[in-house]
Amino acid sequence: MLGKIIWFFAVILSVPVLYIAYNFIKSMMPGQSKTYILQPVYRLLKLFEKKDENAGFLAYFFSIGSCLFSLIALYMTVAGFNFLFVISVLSMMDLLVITGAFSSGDFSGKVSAKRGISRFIIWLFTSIVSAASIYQVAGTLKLNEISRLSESNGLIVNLPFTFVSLFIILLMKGNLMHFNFGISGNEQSLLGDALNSPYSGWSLAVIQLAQWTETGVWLKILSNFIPVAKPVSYGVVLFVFLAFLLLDGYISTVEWKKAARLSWGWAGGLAIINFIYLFYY
Amino acid sequence: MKWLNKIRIRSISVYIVQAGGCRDCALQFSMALSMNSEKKGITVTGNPKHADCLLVCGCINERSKEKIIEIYDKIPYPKAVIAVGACACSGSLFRRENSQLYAAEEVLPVNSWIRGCTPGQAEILEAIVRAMEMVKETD
Repeated sequence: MLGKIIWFFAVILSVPVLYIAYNFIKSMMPGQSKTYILQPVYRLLKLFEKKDENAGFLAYFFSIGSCLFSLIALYMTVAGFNFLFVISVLSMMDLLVITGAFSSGDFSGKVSAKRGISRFIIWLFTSIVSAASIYQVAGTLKLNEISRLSESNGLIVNLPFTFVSLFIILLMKGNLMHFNFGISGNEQSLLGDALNSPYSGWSLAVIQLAQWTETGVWLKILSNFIPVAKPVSYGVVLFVFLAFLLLDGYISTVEWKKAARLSWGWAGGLAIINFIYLFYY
Repeated sequence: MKWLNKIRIRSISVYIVQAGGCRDCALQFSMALSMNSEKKGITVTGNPKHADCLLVCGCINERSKEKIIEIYDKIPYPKAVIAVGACACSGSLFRRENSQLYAAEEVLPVNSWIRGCTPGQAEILEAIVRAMEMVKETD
């Protein structure tokens, strides 16, 4: 139990630390924007102290709800629950964010919800196909079993494309590379999701916390496939994600419909290729 | 609280309104950001709900006036308004020809004025930080 609690808090803390490391490295890179190293933390604290008089009850309801679901998903991940259970809780979280955006009633909120739904369908489809592939190889969907089998049998050898497609889900969630569904390229990636939505101030800060937790959940899920000890595998996935965060600064953003097409092709396509390979060959 | 004020000025999201005119002030600000990077923690946002600071550039006319007020209302407190350039500060020479133009302070409670046509890049960044420093919680 103590191990699970330690993992729970370690994952929660690892994502902001990752963004601080990202800011630190970025500030040393030529041609990249320089800002305060603790900028993500400053931004979060600033958002908590802002007061939005126009924000209604629904904005707070949906943001707190999404944060709660992300924390439940994180606990289920570190406790080694069934992969599909974790996916269903993350779906609830995503749906709450989308519903909150749609409930604003104005045009910009609907635009944000449209993008959110598009991304939701892609990542859910990819996750379900990936789950089928994982079950075919491991005979179980329990994350602790998958982790144990990865260490002893190296599951990733049979699931290379599934691993890549799950990593692309992580990129989609972080609005990175050519899988950016956000609206403004200048906005901090993780805030792009809530852009042009009723969230602001306090509720936006809670949404940001939820998104950090969600990133942690996906990092932890991916680390289960690396055939080394748990802390090392988590560190490897963190390092790869950090590399993609830095790489994102050198890649131009694409229009969101193109991002959706690319996400279908890469995330969905690779998951299906691995699935077909496992069932027919 | 001092530490809260310190945090506030280390993460400033700016929403730019181009009310009308040549767009040179908005371009100066974009250039200031790209050249001085985001050293002062200033970023541009596309959503007024995420903004801390409203940058008004260009002459305000009847049509843009309503939209600017609408945008200002959407920005959560504490917030600052900065008039950038001669057009936003006073209507500049265009106001002599057209009485339907407004200075920013006639439309919104302006916290800072950056005069000049066009104002310097460093001055714009400095004014944003100073304005956010002065903004009180109650605004």
